[in-house]
Amino acid sequence: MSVLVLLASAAGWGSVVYAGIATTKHNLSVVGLGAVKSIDETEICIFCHTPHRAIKNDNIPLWNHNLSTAGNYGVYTSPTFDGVTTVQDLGGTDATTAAVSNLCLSCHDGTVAINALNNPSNANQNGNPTMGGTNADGTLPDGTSRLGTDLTDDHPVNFIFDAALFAVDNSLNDPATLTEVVLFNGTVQCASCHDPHNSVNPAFLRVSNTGSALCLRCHNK
Amino acid sequence: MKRYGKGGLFLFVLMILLVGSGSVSAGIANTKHNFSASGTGAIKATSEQEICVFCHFPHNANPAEPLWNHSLSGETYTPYSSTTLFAAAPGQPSGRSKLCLSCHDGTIAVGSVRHMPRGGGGGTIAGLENPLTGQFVLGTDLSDDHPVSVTYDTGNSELVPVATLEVNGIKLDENGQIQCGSCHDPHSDVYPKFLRKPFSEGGEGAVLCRTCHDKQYWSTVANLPHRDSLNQWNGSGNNPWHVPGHDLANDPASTPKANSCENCHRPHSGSNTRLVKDFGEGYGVSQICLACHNLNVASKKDIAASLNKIYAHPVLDTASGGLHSPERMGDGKVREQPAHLGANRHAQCVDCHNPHAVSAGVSPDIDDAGGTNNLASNVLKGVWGVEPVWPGNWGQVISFTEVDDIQYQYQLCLKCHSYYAFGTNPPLDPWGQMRGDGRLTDQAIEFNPNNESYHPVVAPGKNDFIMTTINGVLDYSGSLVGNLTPGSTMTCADCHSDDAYTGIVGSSVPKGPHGSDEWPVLSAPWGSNTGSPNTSDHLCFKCHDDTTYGAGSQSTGQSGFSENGTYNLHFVHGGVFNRPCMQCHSAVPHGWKRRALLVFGRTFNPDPAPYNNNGPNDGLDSRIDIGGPEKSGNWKCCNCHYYVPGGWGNCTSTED
Repeated sequence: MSVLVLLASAAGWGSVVYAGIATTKHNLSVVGLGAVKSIDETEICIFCHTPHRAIKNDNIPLWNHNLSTAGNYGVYTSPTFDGVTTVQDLGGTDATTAAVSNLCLSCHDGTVAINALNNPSNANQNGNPTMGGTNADGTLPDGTSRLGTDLTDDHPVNFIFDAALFAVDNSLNDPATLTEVVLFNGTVQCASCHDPHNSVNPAFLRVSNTGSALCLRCHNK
Repeated sequence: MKRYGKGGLFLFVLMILLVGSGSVSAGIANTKHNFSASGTGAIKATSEQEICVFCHFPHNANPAEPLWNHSLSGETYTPYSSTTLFAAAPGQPSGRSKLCLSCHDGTIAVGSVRHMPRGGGGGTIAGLENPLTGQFVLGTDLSDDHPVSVTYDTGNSELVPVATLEVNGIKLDENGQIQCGSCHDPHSDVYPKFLRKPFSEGGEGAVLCRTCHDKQYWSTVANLPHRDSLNQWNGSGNNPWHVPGHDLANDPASTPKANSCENCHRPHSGSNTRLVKDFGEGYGVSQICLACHNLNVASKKDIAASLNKIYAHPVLDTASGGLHSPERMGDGKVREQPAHLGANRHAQCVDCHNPHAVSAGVSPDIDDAGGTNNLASNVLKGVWGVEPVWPGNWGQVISFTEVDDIQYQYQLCLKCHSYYAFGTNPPLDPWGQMRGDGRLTDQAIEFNPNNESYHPVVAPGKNDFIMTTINGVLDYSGSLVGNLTPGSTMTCADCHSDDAYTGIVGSSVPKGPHGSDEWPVLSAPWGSNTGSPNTSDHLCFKCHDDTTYGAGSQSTGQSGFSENGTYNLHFVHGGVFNRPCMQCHSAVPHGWKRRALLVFGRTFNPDPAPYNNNGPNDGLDSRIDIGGPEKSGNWKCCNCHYYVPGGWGNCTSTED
């Protein structure tokens, strides 16, 4: 896939009311709220972002978490999934080709330790943060959020959702009319549904799923 | 474009044009499949607000497609089976039908999911701890449900071409199989019962069924009442119908036309074979026929009344009700095995009538233009029978050709009433009235056109009704009643019909051998007195003018059995001496190996019962030469009545 450009504009982000990442499970610092958190790292952003020596600075600014080297995640298939013509496996990517979803998978596929940072915090004399609540190898513990390296049983990501798909599928809403759900360069990514910085809604969902409202943003059922 | 393949975009555009706004669903939120607390149905969660989660979950789903979340059932099912199924018999449900059954088999709590909403492990969503009950449950016995997980058989000529299905809104799965979702769209209740089609369109029902099924004859026979009738149910007896809105008494929207396939079939809980409805009366598949054909819906003929007569085809017999067992034969056609017909004697309406082809019209009667014939009439359209390979005179017929759309009525009757069904061992007369060993006879032997004589069921008779006597030409073809001629043919039903049958237009009594109060299912009295005085209302005289026989006179109505064409020996025997027909003629007057159905009985070499009705008391002396054509019209008393002292014969021959 060609270089992806973060579609969400500043105005777009600005439309979201933040509760603040500090109060989410994605605050992995020593004051984090979840079971997985550091015992010596006080910075919050450092687990994902760094102002210098970033791994990647196109899709998500200044990425700092080491990427997974998984070669093949597989893709969701269904006789009624017409995005199959554009969907691309997220495996086998590197810093130059990683899609937005690869950034999420750098923790959530369970192959890379949570503390595996490209550029650790200067303030932490131990270098990479020391974590608590992880598996012995430092990876995300088993549970709903550890997707593993098999994405065939997960909602498809990394496919183009455009007018053509809308036209052929017959049970989607027009992508031009989407609100709150975000496409990245016209593609569906993890972050289309999830806002990693905001857990006002459970599971970091961008829209409350009461009435399955998030699902029905795209799906016309 | 995986789903549509080549030309798919074209198809898609066509779909859009055809279905128009149908592509915009009314929304699952407003259907009974919204099990969230906001749901409109009775079955819903206590507080859970998500809708999709009862069936779908975006991560770690099982099965992955379509991101399934509801706990799956581990039950083993009894699949649909039928001996006439064209496709391979269904196995266990597979594919997406398993997903539907995860609720609809009634074994799993509606709220039981693999992932609780918003993550976490499996559990049961509050308020939905119980499985489905009642009408929504198919159970684990799917034998009374339309088959699923079967491949749409493109070789079946009674199914529409597969390419037309999706255009018409029916979805097969990626393996070309029918699944629950072929007919139902679980996300949309635009049409009742989440169906992909309405119950009826243009007043004609079973829209969905007919999108796939194109039964032979159904769309090609004109004036097909099962397809077109606007009759209404009078409210008596069993309600023939089950489709909501089309199941009411005395209602113009509840008609055979409005119910179409679902007049008789029911895709779920069609408890009789081939998904035919059953009313629990125990006599088999004909129950649905007689829900209407007792004047409760079908307005013209009371078939039930005929079947309730003393002597009837055993349609109403619970012992034979389940014995109808058609099979899909090797040539792809549906018939019953001959051995089955012989060993499991039965009669259901569908043994003689094809409900997909039957229309009004019976064989003509004697007064109809052209008289009778032996053709299969409209009511017998599209049924199968047999055509014998005819041997010589009175030979045992052992070879038959199956005919899948009979041309002649006898072809239908002979499939049960001949060697084809019972070999050389005819069954016992169920009413115990047959002479001899009490067994019925083989009608293929009797109607063989190579016989010396027969009633003209297979071919015109051999009696030409015109002969030369010493007094000139005798033509007594006028003794044939109505428009009958010596060249006429006839059907079995011309004699074997309801005794109340009159042929009068508007009468509710049907023609045909359904039943009669006259043995053996005869349309008029007949017996060992027929032909003697005061029997003019008997069967024989419906076709044979009784004034030629017992009701005539010595000098008129001469027939072939006359002395020199001037002395009516039929009258002398019947009218004067009270002799019945079967004194000389076969008591099974279908056909016989001797001319004019004449049997021998007296002296030696008597013909056997039941053809000879009463042994030495009936039949001619076997020494009489009946074969010579010179006899016809030129009989002499002494041909039979030999010289005895004081006798009255004048022949030169004497008893030898």
